[in-house]
Amino acid sequence: MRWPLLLPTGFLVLALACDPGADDDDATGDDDAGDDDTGDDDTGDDDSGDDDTTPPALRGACDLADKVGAFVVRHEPEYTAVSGEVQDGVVPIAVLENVLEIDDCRLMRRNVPFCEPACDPGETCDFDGQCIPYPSNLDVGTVTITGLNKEVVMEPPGEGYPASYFDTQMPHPGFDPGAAVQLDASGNEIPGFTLYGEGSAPISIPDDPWIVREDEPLEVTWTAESGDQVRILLRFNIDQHGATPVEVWCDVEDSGSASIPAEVMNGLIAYGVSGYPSGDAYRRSLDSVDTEVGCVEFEVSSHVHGDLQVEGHIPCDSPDDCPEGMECDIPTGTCI
Amino acid sequence: MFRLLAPVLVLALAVAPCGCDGDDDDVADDDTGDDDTGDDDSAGDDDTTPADADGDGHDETVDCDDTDPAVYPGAEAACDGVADNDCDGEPDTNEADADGDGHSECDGDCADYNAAVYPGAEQTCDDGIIDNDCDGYIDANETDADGDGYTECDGDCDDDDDAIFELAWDVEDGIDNDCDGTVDEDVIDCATAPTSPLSETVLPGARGYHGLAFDEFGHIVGSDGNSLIRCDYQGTWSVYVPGVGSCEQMAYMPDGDLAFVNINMNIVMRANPAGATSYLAPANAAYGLIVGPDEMLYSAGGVSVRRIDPATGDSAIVTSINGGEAHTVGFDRDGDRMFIGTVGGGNLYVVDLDENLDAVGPPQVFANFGGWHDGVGMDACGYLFVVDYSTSAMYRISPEGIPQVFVQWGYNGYGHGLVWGSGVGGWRTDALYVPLPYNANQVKEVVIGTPSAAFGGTVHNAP
Repeated sequence: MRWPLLLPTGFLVLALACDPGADDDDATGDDDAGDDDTGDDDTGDDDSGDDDTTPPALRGACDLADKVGAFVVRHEPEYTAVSGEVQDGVVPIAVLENVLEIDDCRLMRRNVPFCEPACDPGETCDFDGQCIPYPSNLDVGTVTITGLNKEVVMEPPGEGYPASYFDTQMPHPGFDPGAAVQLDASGNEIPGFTLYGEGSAPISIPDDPWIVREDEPLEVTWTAESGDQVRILLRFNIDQHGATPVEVWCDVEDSGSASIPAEVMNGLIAYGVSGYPSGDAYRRSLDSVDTEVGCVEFEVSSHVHGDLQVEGHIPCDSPDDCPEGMECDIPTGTCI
Repeated sequence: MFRLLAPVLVLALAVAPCGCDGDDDDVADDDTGDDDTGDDDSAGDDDTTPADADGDGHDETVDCDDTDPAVYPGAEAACDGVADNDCDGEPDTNEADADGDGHSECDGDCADYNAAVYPGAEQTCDDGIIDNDCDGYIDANETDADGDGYTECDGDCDDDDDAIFELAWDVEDGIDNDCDGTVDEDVIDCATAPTSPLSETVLPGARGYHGLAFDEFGHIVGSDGNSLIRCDYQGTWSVYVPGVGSCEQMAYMPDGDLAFVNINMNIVMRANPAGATSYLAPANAAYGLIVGPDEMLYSAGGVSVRRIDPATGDSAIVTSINGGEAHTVGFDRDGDRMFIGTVGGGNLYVVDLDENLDAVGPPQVFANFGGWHDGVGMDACGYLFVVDYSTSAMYRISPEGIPQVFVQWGYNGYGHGLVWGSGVGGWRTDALYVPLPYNANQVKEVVIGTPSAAFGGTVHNAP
C-alpha cells in the first residue's frame, strides 16, 4: 500500500484519540476563509467532514519506466483545463534516458526505438526492436476532482474513444493558492484510487531572457510563493528542430531562483544548438500512486514560456537575421 | 355434472311460483302487433323485451340510434357523417378536425394533429418527414429529382439540373449554379495570379504549432504547445483537446474526426468533435499528415510516405525517397501525382500515381530549394506552395519545377506549415493559413489570391 494512503489513516486514528472535535480542514470545497489552521498539522488529511486545508504528503513523480498515466490540472496564461488517461502499459518512447544528473537537474534524451519491419497498427516498437501491443487506455471509472474552483466529474467517453478524460469547461483560474485538491477514480478496469494535489499561484517570470552561456550556470528567477508541497519544474530545449532531442529538466524548490549547473547546460549545448531555443517553467504539485498496471501521476500546475537564448548562438532563418560579418548556417539555423 | 344440474334447478324454481298455465304466446295469443322478437316467454304475458330495430345486435336501451345499424356501442368510427358511431357520447375523432386546419381524417387529413398537413396543403421543408398534402408521396420539394444530392429544401434552385445546387461550383456557364442569385463567381485567371501575398494578417485567438486544420463548423484547429485550440474567424476560441502537447500536422477525416501526430508518443491520434481522443496508428516519425483525394490519410516521416486507413488504422508504404527525410506530402489537382517535401538537401520529389493512388515508379526530384519543407500544397492553377524552414520563406513552384520566393519572412515570422481556408465561417478559400511556432503559436492569414487544387470552378490560363 502506498504511503499517502497509510498516512491519513494513521492521522485519523491519532486525531480521534486526542481530540474528537479537532478542526481538520476539508479537502473538498472547504470553508477555510480565515480559518484557524495556522500551523496546521494536517499533512494527513482524513476528510472526516471537518475543515482541512492541507493535502496529505504528496509522493511526487512516477519513475518514467513505470509511468502508465497521469491526470493534469493545468493553468495556462489564458485558460485552465483538465486532462488525463491511464494505460495498461508503458509507452516505450515516453521513457526518456537520463544521460546526466546533477543536483536537481537532469539531462534527458528521447530515444526513438526502431523496428524493422515497421510495426503494424495497434503496435509500437520497444527498445529491444520488438513490436509490442500499443498500450490501451483503461476505464478507471468516474474521475472526480474536488478542491478546484469547480468540481470536476469526468466519465470515460463512449465506444471508440477509450477513457480519455478531460474537462475543457473550467473556470480560469481553475484553482486557488493553497487549495487542497483531491482526485478520486471510482475504478472499473482497475481498482479505484485516490490522488492529492495542492493549488498554487500562477507562476510568474520576469521578461528578461534566460541566457545560456557555456561554462556558466544558468540563473533563472521567478516570483516565489509559499506552497507547502509545490515545486518548480524548469525545462530547457535548445534544439528546436529535433535532430538531437535532448532537454534539461530541473525540479527545484519554489524559492524564487535557481542556478542550473554549468555542467548540465554544457551537456545540453554539446548535443547541438539549432533553431529557436525554448524554455518553460511550471509551478506544480505532484502526487502518484501505484496501481496494478503501473504508476499514475496527478499534477496541479501552472505554466509559462520563457525566452531562452544561447550566447553565441544567433538563431536565423536567412542571412538577413544575422549580424554583419556572420552568415546563417541553414542546417543548424545558427549565425556563424 | 354441476353445470347441467344448475339450469334445471333454476327452471323449476321459475315455473313453480308463477302458476304458469302453459300458455306461452305465440299461438293465437293476444299479442297483436307482436313485439315478441325478444320474447321472454313469461306465461300469458305481453312481452316487453327491448327492441333492436336496426338489427345491429344492440337493443334500444344501449343503441344510441336504433335506426342505424352502423351505430351501436363499440361500433367502428366510420366516415358516414354520423358524429358518434360508437355511442360513447363523444364525437368520433375521424369526423372531427382536431388540429383546426379545416379537415378531418374523413376529409383526407392524414395527420389530424398537424395543422400544416391536409389535402392540398402547401409543401414545406421538414426533412422529408411530413407528407404535407396527404397524397401518399414525399413532397416534391423534399425529393432530389436530379440526383445531385440536394433537394429544393436543401437549397437546390433547379432540381432538374444536377449541376445546380447551393454548394455547387459556380463555373463559367452563364448559370447561377450555386443558387445565390449571381452567375459565374467561381472563375479564376491564372495569368493574373499574384506572385506575392495580397495581405498577411496575424489572427486573434487562433493557435498553431506545426499544423492546422479546419473543421466543418467554421473553426480552425491548432496546438498552442499544450492543448489543441479551436477558434472561429472572429477570434472566439476554446480548448478543444487539452494536454496533448505540441502536435505536428493534422487533418480532418471524412468521418469528422481530427487526425493529428502526437510527437511525444510518436503516434497518430484521432479526436472526435467533443475532444475525446484515441490511438489511430503508429506515426513512424511522421511530421506531415494530410487527407488525400481518396479520403485516406497520408503521412510523411522517415524516408517514406504512408497511407493510413482512417477506419482501421492500417497503414502501408506508398513510396520511399532515396536522399533526405520525407517530411511533408501533397497532391496535384487530378490526384495523379504526389509531391514529397524533405528535410536535408532541399529536394522536393514527385511521384506518379495510378488510379489507386499507388506509386508508379520511384520518386523523382521535381525541384531543389531550401532544406526543410514544412508544408506542401498545390493551388488551382497548378502551382505548388511550400514553406521552408531553412530559408524562412514561402515558395511558389511552377509546374515546370521552378521555385520562386513568394514571401520572405524574418525572425519569428516563419509559417511552419500551410493549409487553405475552408470557406466556412469566413475563412478565405484564397488564403493560406500558417502557424507561427516562433511567435507564440499564433496563426497568420496569407492571402495568395488562388484557391487550393480542390477548386472546382473554371480555371483560365493555367500554366
